[in-house]
Amino acid sequence: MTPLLAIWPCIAFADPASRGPAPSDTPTSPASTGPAHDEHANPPEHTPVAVSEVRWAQPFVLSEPTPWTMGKDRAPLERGWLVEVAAPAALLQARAVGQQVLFADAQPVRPLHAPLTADCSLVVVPADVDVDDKLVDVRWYFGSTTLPERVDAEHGAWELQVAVDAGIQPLAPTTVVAPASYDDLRDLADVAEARFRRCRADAEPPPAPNTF
Amino acid sequence: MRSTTCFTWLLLAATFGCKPTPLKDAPAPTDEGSDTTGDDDDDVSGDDDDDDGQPCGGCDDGQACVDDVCVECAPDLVWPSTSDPSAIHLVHRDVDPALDLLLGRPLEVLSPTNVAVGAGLSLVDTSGTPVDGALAAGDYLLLADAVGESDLTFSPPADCATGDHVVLVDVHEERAIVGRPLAQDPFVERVHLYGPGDVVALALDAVEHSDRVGQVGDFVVVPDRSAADWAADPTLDDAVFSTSLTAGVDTDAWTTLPTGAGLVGTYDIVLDLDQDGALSPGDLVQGLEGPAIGVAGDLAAPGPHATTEFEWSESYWITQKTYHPTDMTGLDPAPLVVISHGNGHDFRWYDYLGHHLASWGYVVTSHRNDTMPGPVTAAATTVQNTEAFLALLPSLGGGVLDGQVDGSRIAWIGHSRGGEGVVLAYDDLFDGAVTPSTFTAADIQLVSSIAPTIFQGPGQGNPNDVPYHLMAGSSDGDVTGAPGCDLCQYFRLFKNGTAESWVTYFQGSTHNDFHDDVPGSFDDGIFVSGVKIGSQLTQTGAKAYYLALLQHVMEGDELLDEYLERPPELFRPSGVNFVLASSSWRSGSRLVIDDFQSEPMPSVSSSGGAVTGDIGALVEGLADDANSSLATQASDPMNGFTWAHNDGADSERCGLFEWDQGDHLLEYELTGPRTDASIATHLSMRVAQATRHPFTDTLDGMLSFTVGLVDVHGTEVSFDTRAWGGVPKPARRSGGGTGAGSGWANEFQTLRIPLEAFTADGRGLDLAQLTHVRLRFGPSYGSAQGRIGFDDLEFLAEETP
Repeated sequence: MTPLLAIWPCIAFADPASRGPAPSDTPTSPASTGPAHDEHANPPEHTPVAVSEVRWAQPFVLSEPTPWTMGKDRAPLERGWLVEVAAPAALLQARAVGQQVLFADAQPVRPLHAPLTADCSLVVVPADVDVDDKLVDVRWYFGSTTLPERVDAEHGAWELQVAVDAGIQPLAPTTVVAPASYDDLRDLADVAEARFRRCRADAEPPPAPNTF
Repeated sequence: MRSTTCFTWLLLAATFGCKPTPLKDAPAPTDEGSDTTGDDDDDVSGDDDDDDGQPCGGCDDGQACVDDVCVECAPDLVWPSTSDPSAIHLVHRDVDPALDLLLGRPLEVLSPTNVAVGAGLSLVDTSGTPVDGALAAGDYLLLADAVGESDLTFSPPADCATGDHVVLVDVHEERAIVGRPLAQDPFVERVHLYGPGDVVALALDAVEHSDRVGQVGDFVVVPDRSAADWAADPTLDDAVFSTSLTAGVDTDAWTTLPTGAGLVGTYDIVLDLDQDGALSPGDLVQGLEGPAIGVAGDLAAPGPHATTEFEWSESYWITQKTYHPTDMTGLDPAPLVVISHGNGHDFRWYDYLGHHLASWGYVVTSHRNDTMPGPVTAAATTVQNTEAFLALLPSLGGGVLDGQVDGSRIAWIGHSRGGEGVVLAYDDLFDGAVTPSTFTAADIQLVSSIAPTIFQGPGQGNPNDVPYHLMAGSSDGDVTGAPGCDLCQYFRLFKNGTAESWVTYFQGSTHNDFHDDVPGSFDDGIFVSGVKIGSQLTQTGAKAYYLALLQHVMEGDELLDEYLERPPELFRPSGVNFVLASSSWRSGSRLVIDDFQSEPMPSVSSSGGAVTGDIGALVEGLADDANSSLATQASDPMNGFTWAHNDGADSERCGLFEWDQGDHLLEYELTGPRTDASIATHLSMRVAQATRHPFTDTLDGMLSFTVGLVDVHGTEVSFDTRAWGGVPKPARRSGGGTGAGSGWANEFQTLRIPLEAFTADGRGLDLAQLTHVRLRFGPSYGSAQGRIGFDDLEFLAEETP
């Protein structure tokens, strides 16, 4: 029923009661190595953090499928959602290490715009297009600091369970617009980039008042 | 015996271009004035010089009659190019035979004599024909065939009572005749590359050229010529510098070096001792095969080519920004530099490097890199984009690059996750895990990582056999390199390579200083205390070092290589005025004395020799900080080391010791082949000051000690390492743990001491029969106290230009 499950059906079999230990490739360094933003230390075992807002979403279809690499189990990206989320810039900022992966349910999502600092992001969620469902049952959260390419179905299910256990609730988009078709990912990226620049500009603080 | 006065006169005659008046050489040493003939006169010939119908009608004293001709008993010789004809010094060279006649020592034989030419020598006439035995009067050249001591033995006629006249000849390997003055012993560094502000000083070896001392000649610098060009035209008409001097007395130097961008010029050096305006027998020369020296200008300045950029896209993940010389007409196919950005970066953010390298003739392409999933995916993107670039060359940029790219010379430069990605990509090529259609592993000639991650560990992150370069900054707020961040310990990538490898470590650079300044991009420096040099200086350094690196690896330049291998505190590109540490080693030309990889007892080196002395706290072990505290603790002696990790994937070990309160010794016994360093060029070791240690904090500066070699004869020659740089203090940065002090990583610096210094100027060390390396520490030998990590004590045999 939930579009995301159509591509990652194993999520449906995840038993919330069987959370268990983290998959072996999930960082499990002790939290005593430092605070979340101590760049000198290994990332601590994560605590899921929900996104602030899911502002906008649009289903899309690509005429030319493109490789989807944000997971260990790979399938071409043909359909999905372009979604604008809001979250603290420190969590959205792409970096080399210590970045908590942004998940939609059990699936890492991909930002599709210039990696500039902002408190919003346009992300791609691969999924069947199901406009009626409007993504209402999806949990959006920053999970562990693992690498998306290491996240298989089992790992994704574990991340989701941790989020559920942490009280992360589904967050429906404020706005869902009509589906769109694009030739390939470049066209979708152009749309995402334009929307990202708008949301980033909207978030810019107003000019400092003249103090004279 | 010949008087000094006479000899000086001869030299002056030669100096002023006159034909020297024949000066009879002296007989073999005898007690002056004594008569060895047994008769009552002073006749040393032993003949009967009465003019009483004897053959020749009688000969003068000191003559004998041969074939009815009176000849001198003593050989009648003139050595016009030496101030000491009793001991001739020659330089042995393996050069074009056509040059031999320009390089010998001239000999004028004024009357017939007999000669026996010793081993390793040739005496040739003016046509180049070897002579031996009976020698007619005429001009000859003495040539060196092999290194070693030999002689020329001139025998008197049978009727002479005098003994043989023996001229000792010492044949040396070629030693540079110019160098860079040093403030301390050995007072000269015979280098091959000079930079802005340097001077090129004449530096004749005091012993090997002792027979030149006092001669007046011209110190001449000419543009580099090939051996064939020298043979065809030995004149010095194109000199860029020339001055007259007295060899061994004057200390003249070329001080007005040309300036400009890049490698400004290459030159040969001649000491024109007969001042005839040409390279001729008896002169000294450096640079017959390849340039003697190079002069570098500003390596960060744009090169000679205007540049053009264009973006192109075949698909979302095959999208690139390409830079090239605008006008490629007439250029040879250019090497290709592929840039793979990091996570949170963009392929358009490397304009500073792309335009710079393109201005120097490279084709550079920076591609969109799929780093968000991780470095394995990034590695695949690097391969796919390189493959696509080469496949699409005929159409890219309207075809401007068609036929202009040399696909067999590719360099991969990756940043951050992209920096790990390029190593993983090469490993995949090396292992055959990927087989792109347009290139092979052999076409990747260089892999360079800027502040790379190491998510995949050193097992996969292995440069294998490709030359590998690592560039990183101490103020990185993302891939910090810190002990507490296992994924950031990039030295674990570096140490796996088996080919020529380098580290260039910038104190004060942040992670994102290495890409263009982009408003709104992530400033990782906000997390970092301590010195930050900023993007402008960082990129100046990156441009300069990458140009030197690429010119060396891709173009075979052996001069700019010196920027990568000489101590940066003494020699660095102009404009790079911040603290650097550099480390490198070479495979295949190393003779390891101690790399700490075997023989875990500190009292035994990895080569099996005894390690003795009274140095303190000597330990060896995995080069891994055992915890994340960055605190000096007895339980964690390897505090601050990140060349290994205790996850079983690394085996890199090093030694560590300290000194305080007086002088101390650490002595390595040399065993087996290590006792013969005669074919080696350097004694090398890697040294790092131990971070956040009281001794390091107290020193608060460059550390030095004294390095000595000892031979079987008990001769010891030693130098303070300050002559070739020292060991920089760790970058000042706080955080990362609880350790007191403000140091950061233990920054290994390679100290590479030229072995020629141990033999120069008659120091007498026998490099073929060494017994020990002695390292001395303390106030009499360098820094009064210190604590250092120590690794890879070895002899190197490096190529020289």
